[in-house]
Amino acid sequence: MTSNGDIRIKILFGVIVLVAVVLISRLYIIQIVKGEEYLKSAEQKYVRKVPNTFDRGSISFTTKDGEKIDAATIQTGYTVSFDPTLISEPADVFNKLSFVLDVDPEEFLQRFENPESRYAEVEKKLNEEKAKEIRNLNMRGVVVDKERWRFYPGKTLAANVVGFMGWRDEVYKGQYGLERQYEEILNRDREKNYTNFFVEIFSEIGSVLRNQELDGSIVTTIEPTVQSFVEKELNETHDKWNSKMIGAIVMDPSTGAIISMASFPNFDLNSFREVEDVSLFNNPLVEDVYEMGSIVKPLTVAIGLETKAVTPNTMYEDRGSLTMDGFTIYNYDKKARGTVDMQEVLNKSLNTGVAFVVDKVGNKTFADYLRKLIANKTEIDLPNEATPLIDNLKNNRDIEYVSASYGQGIAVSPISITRALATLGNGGFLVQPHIVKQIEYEDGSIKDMTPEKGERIFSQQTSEDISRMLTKVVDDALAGGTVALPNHSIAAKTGTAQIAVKGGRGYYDDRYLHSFFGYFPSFNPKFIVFLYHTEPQGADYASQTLTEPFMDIAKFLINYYELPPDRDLEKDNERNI
Amino acid sequence: MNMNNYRNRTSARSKAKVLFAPNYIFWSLVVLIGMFVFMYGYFINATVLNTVSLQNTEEEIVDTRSEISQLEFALIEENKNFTKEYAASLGLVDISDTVFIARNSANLSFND
Repeated sequence: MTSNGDIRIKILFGVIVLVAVVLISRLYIIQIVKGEEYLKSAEQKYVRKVPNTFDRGSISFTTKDGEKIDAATIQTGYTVSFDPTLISEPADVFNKLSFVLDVDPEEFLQRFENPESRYAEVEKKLNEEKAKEIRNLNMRGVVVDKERWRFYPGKTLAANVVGFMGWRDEVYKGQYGLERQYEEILNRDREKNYTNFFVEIFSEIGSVLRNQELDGSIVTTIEPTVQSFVEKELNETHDKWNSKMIGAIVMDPSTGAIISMASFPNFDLNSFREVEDVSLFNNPLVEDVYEMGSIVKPLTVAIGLETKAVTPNTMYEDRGSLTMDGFTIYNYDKKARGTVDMQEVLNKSLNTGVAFVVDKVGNKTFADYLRKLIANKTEIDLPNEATPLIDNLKNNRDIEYVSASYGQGIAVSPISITRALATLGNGGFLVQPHIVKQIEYEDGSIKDMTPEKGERIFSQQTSEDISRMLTKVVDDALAGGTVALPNHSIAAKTGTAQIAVKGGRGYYDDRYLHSFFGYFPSFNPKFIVFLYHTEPQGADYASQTLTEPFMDIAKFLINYYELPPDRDLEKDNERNI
Repeated sequence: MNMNNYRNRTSARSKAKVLFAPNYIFWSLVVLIGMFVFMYGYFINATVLNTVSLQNTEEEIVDTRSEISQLEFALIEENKNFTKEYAASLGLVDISDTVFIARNSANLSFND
């Protein structure tokens, strides 16, 4: 028994001695053999300002073929910095660095003036090749660190939609657009990067168990080639008419998927700090409201058709003007056209015609329909959506309802009016506009974000009737019928509105908003395009300034998406359809 | 006497077993603990290496996607240069007589 106990004690003692020898040997290797190497490494770690472990989910566009292209991603590069206290020969270091980098000598040497400073940056966002060259110089006190930052490969493309990151409440997070809207999903917990591997491994499982929002990336419905084309058109139109600002929305009217959303002037997301006018960061298509003008007329006529107050063939007498509640409204040219039908009301954009429709429908019913169409926010997945201004519809005066019937006295956002106008072509459904198609979580799961079809406002019959009328507007009236496409039907309408005095009453005499919407094919449309610009110079009407960009966009979409022809205009005319 | 001898011998065997048994358990436990320590070290090492490898791969994927996106956007930008004027300068002309073909009906019969 005793001898067995002795043996065990000896064995245990031997193990302890062995472990001690291993530890001492390891310490000897670390401190004596590789001491210099580790010391240098430690110095480098000491001078590093912040370990850059930035991470964030991506935002991507989707091509028509379903391919994803990152619009917001992470880019990796290198920062060159140095610890002035470890450099005894600054001139020597400068000479070596200047072979690789473009360093200003005065600026470089200034960094050595403060004896307490232990960190100075030479260059940021350096590529790997140059970073290797500097590392190979093996200079004491000079550090090359990997860094990661938010990067927007599309630069200006859909800048107002994508948004960018900035500091808010001392936290670096999404400030505008999708970056802000989906902060919770895109954000990666920074603390996680410093925790141990087990936390890294089990953190995702933990978040599932706690039912928290998982980390993920978002995939949008924005089609990059369409977006690029639309922005080019806006840029050219803006330059041609010297407008204050211009914007466009391309949407699938049956689902509400936004294919393009653009405004100009815009900015480069990678250098947003250079922008002086911060209002450019807002998305006017969602955050601003405007009196839209005559593009509201098709909604008024559709309400008339839906309530059976009028039919496309209903006649009325146009006297060129109409007086009510002490106000007189006129047609845009103040001319009377005698007895005309509802088609002529849309073809010639007659204010007296829609006033006639409101009279037939009744103020209350008209206001109820209009409220269903535009009173509520669309709930598009972008921040700061504007609330429509339609308080005039609470007023008892007839003039308020008549003004609303041709798009004055009520103000809505471009996205709100686009959704309302989509009901004309899609069978009467109020769809929910949306930018994000799906969320791809890091655990591999995918969440489909397509909203369900909304409330039905108009019947299929009304939708078909108004679409037929708007197609005739393009075929017969728009630019004298010269822009109609022979094999593709397009339903469209222009609008010109006076701009209300900011902070006051009444309208500016010389400031106008031009708007234009159209959808195609006219029956079962695949696209609705909305265009507008404010204060264009050198033209009075939207038909003069926006017909060309609209038709360019329409032709591009028809070709790009290879939309099959849906008619033969020559044969239709022969048959008098 | 014989009976006593037998009892004594049996008792000595039992004692021997009792004395022998702890040795056997001790060494088994030592081997087992050694195995666990080795396996623990091995799996920790493998986990750490795999996690680092995963992180590096994820970073590489992000970098590659970023590069691809830059190239895609550069391509889109270049495509803007393919204008009608440029096409005309290459001698291309608009199709004057476009012909579209379509199936007349969904009828399965070939007799129509």
